[in-house]
Amino acid sequence: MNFINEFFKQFSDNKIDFVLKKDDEYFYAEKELLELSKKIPDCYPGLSLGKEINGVFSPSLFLLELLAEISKNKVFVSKKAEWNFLCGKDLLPENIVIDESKSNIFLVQNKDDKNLGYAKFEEKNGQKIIKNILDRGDYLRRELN
Amino acid sequence: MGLFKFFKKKVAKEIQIDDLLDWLDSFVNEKNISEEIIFINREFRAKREKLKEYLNKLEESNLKDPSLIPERARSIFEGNKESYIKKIRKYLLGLNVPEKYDEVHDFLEKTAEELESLATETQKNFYILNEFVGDQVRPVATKLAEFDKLISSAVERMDRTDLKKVYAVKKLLKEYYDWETQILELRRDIEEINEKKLDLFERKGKLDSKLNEIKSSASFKEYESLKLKLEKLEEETSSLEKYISKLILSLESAIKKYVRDNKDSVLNKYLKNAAKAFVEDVEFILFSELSKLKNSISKLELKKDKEERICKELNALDETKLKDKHEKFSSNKEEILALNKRIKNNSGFLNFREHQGWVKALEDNIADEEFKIEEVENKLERLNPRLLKQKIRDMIKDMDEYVVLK
Repeated sequence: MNFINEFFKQFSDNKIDFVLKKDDEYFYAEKELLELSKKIPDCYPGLSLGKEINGVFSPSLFLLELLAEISKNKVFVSKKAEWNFLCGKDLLPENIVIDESKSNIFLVQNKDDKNLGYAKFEEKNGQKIIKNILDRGDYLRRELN
Repeated sequence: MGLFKFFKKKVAKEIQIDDLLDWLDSFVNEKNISEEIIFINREFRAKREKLKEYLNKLEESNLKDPSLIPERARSIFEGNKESYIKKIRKYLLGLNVPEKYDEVHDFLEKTAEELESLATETQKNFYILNEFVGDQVRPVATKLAEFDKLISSAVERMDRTDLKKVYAVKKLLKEYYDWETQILELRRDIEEINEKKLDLFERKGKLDSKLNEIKSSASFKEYESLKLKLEKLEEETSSLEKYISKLILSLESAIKKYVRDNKDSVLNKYLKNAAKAFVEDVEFILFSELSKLKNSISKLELKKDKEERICKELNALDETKLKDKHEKFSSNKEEILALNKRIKNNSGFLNFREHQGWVKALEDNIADEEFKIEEVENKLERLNPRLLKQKIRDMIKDMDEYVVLK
């Protein structure tokens, strides 16, 4: 469970319970469901929290949503920036309306405190940018391809 | 010694609410309620055994002369006998008086209900069997009816004990603990909401300082000066609008008659909407048209005094002044359009407006959280475990005057 715990730690001091790892994927399920799934072969219970891909943990949007409920490591972006971020674009620091980031990696929220994805601060051509790592538009874009 | 013991004053005993269940158990034992239950159980067992015996006899019973009875009637008899016995045996299976005193009441209630439905279910079986083996089936039915009486008498016996009071206290105690749990949960809710509210306030504080930052920025200062300019221009334009509308209104009766014969005159447009026509009158034909009107005023058949007043007004008109007003009006209108465009695209203003929206949303969220707190507090107010505790205390005192619930 190291990967998911390490990822979780970046956003919250809380621990995530009821996690099951199957192959390279992590699942979130209530205790009873976890117990039951142990008795059923090839059963993938609950909701996916993310996957390990080439030694790197890639979270699911559900996990980000869970984190958004408890984490205080967030930045809130303007309406225009919200759209750009959902289209997979990087943002500029001036797009941040409220900065509550506690580390280099943080959750990106809109005006209504809804999670849009997560990002990190990065330097590009000498300018600080908000590098989009994962956003809610990802699924749609993958559908298009 | 015994006599002294009798006269010895009984000391009041204090018990805590958490010890109440144990006290109720000992109260039940002291009041011989368990013995009542044992007695009821014995009665039930005796009747059950007797009924089992009758059922066995019924099961063994056969038709007196099967050869005289048609095959179909025989199978009807067998089918009904089997079903009758099966239903009653099933009922007897659940007929065990519980040992725990707090389960007896529910048991008696449930058994009475089951007996009633058993009677309905087996009615048809009984009539059929009564035709063939009446001597064997009637004792079964009689014994079943005795169960009804037994249940009623058991209920009466239990009612004579203090068990009802014990049940009532237990019910209140459950309610008391439920309320306590609810109160704990509601208090936790309030804490959570307050924490959320604090976060929102913190966020709002950040936004407020950012709003002040925006307000002191160069682009927002530009927006403010543009807005001031716009307001001034709009005020000036509005007074020019009023002037032209008033002028046309004072000449209205003459213009109306004049445009009847001069349908293409620009005055027609001025009659409909003076301010609009004033802007559209790019070549400023208004004055020349008013001069034409002045020249033909005698032909318009106006009343003498009206004609004189209008003539006086037309004579007082100064072409240069009117032209200046026209130019000012047109340029103001153009400038207002340009200013509005600049204001709309002013980054300081856009930023300010967005942040204002955020502050508004946060204020709404804070108001929502406050409403939630109010709701939870209202719920908390309605939960009064102390009142319940007092009720329990009164009941306990009624059951044993030497026991005080702390």
